[in-house]
Amino acid sequence: MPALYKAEGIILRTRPLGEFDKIITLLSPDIGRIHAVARGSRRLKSSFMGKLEPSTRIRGLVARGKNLDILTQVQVIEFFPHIRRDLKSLFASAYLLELFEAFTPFQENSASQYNLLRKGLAAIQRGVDPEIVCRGCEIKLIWVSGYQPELGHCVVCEGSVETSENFSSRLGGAVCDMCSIREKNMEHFTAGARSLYNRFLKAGSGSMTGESMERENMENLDEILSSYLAGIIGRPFSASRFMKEFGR
Amino acid sequence: MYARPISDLIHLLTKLPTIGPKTAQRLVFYMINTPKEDIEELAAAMIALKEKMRECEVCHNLSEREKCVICEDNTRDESILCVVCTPQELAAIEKSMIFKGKYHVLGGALSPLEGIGPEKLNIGSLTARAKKGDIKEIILATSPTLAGEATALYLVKQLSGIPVKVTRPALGLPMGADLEYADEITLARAMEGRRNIGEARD
Repeated sequence: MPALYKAEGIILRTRPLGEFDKIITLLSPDIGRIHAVARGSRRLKSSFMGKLEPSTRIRGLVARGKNLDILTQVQVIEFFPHIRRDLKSLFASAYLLELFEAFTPFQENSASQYNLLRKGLAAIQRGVDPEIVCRGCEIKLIWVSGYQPELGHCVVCEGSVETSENFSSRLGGAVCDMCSIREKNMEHFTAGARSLYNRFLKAGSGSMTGESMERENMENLDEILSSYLAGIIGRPFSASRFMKEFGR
Repeated sequence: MYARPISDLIHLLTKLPTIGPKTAQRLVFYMINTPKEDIEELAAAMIALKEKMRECEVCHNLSEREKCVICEDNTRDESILCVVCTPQELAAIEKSMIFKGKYHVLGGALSPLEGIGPEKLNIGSLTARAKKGDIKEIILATSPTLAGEATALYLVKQLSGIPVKVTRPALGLPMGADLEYADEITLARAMEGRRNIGEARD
C-alpha cells in the first residue's frame, strides 16, 4: 500500500485517544476495515469536528503510520441525520455498525459488506422500519460472509427437514426430528419464520416493508438470527439488547 | 534494571491515562530530586482525594459533603435543571457563568456500541427529581455524539409523562470558526435552529 492513500468508507466506531485525538474504525469497500488516528479531532475548532461520527460516509486521505494510519483530510459524502431523530432508528443503526464491524475482515476487499451497510443505513434514513432493515441486513450479511445456515437438509444426517422446525445455532442449520432427540440446545424455527427468512434473502436490503409480516414470525426469526450470529462471533451484540429493550 | 522502589513506581504510574513507560520514568526521576515535603504533600493530596470525595446525594456531582456546593447554594434557580453526563461537563458549563440553575450528573452516556445501558446511569434519581414538581425546565446538555444523542432521546422518553419542559442546547457553529470548514451536519443543524437577530438580542 502506498505511503498516502485515499479511502472511502462508513465510520463504524470512534474512540478517544489521549486528550484531543480519536481513533476511527472505517469500513471501506476496497480495503475492508481499517483503523486510523484523526489528530486533534476532539478540539472544538478542528476541521474534523462533526465529520467523524459513527455511520457517516466519508472520503479521506490517509497516511501510513508506524502503528496506526493517520487520517489527514476528510470530506463527508453522505450523512444520515434522520437515524438520530428517534431511539429505535438510532439503536438499529448502532447495531448495524457493530454487526458489520464484527463481520468485516481487516484490510481486505469488503465491497459487498460496504454496499449492504450503506443500503441499510439509507433505508433507515428513508423511514423503513429499522427492525425490518436489521433482519434484512443480518440475512444478507450472513450470506456474503459465507456463514449461511444449512436449511435444505438435516445438518447431522443430511435427511429431510421438510416437516421439522428444529434449528441448531451450534451445528449451523436445520435438524430433523429424529436427530433432534439426541442433540442438545435445539431452537424452534417455525415454518412461517423460515419462509420470512427466504423472503428476506430474495428481496433487496431495505426494499421490504412490514406488510404481511406476522409479529410472531418476526420475533422467531429475530431469536434464531440473534443466537446464530452470536454463535459465529462468540459473543452477543451489545447494541441488539438496546434495540429490543429500549427501542420500541 | 532499576531498584525496586523506582521500578514499582514506574509500573504504578503507567497505569494512569496518557502516561507511558518513558513519561513514568521521567516523573519518577523528577520525584527523586524533589524535596521530601513536596512529595508528602502530593501523596497526602492523592489520599485525601480518595477519602474525602464522594457523590452529591442530590445531583451526583463530586463533593466533599453530602450535598455539593451547587446544590447547597440557595441563590441558584431551582426550577431549571441542566443534565450533563460527567462532572467535567458540569465544570465546563459553570466556567461559562451563563447558567444559574441546578445540575444533575448522569455519570456517563448511554452507549449501545460500548454496552452502557440506562441501569448504569443516574436516571432514576433524575425522574424522581422531576416528579417532585419544583422543576419547570430540564436542559439535556449531553454531547451531540451518537452516545449523547441516544442519552437525550432516552431521557425525553423517560420524562414524557412528567409535566416539565424539556429542552436541548442549540447546536451550531462555534465562535471564531470558519464557515467554509464547517461540516455538513453542523451547518444543517445551525440552519435548522436559526432565529431572527432581534430575538437573539433580547
